[in-house]
Amino acid sequence: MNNVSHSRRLRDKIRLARGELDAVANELWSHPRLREIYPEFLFRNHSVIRSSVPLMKAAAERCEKMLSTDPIAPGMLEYFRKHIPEETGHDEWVLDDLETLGYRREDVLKRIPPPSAAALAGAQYYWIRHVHPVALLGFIAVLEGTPPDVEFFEQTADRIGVPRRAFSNLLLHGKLDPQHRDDLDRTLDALPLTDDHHALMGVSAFQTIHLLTRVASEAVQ
Amino acid sequence: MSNIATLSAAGLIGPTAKLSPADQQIIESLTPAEVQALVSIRAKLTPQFLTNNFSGIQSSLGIVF
Repeated sequence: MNNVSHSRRLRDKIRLARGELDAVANELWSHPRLREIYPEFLFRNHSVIRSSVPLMKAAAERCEKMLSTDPIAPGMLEYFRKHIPEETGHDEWVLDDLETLGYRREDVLKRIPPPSAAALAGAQYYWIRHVHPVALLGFIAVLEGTPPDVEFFEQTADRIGVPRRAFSNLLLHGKLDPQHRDDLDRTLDALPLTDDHHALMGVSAFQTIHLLTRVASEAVQ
Repeated sequence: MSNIATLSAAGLIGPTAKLSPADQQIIESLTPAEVQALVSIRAKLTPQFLTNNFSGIQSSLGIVF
């Protein structure tokens, strides 16, 4: 595996482990009651996406403290400093979509998020604070690794009879995430990653796939 | 014990799974911690699972970052 790039090495592992996640995605988006399920899916999506920027800020803080002692901290910090502004406000897009469907923002924000979403984000705080912030790159690689297909989600909105603007979060991410995925790959490839870093990113990615599958499958049930 | 043997014994790689040489290499390159993580989450590992269980469009789950 030593001749493979860092990004390829991580993405190969994710590809092998994400079968159940893809199966749930298929079940969700082809569900006969998707119109009914979709607001619950959005709520769960918001429960996850609200942690994106805070997680990167937590990782950046750790990197700042490790700058003089950890060879990958400077490169990671540069990535987080660029990516934090790019992701800021995206949780609002999900609230916009819910508002389009008739759900008040304050009601969404008052609702207790599902424990599976808390576990998904919470695990990353653990890795960042107690192990190493490189774990978060495994999490991001899963979440930004398969950008939403814009045409597919436009057709899905039309098919279930909701306005396309209620899919703004997915449609906007469909346009942005290919670039974000490539940015992460370039960052990974430029970092002096060791086998230990790869192992932690792998564990984090596998756990992310598992918990993300739970977050989504609970919406379908 | 190889990683493939460990994951097969845990039921994560089915007896009929067809792993390409490249996929076998990826699995054997996993560290013990990664293998334990896969066992812990009961990951159905291999593209075979995808082939058997997922015949639709390979779209994003839609939970984004």
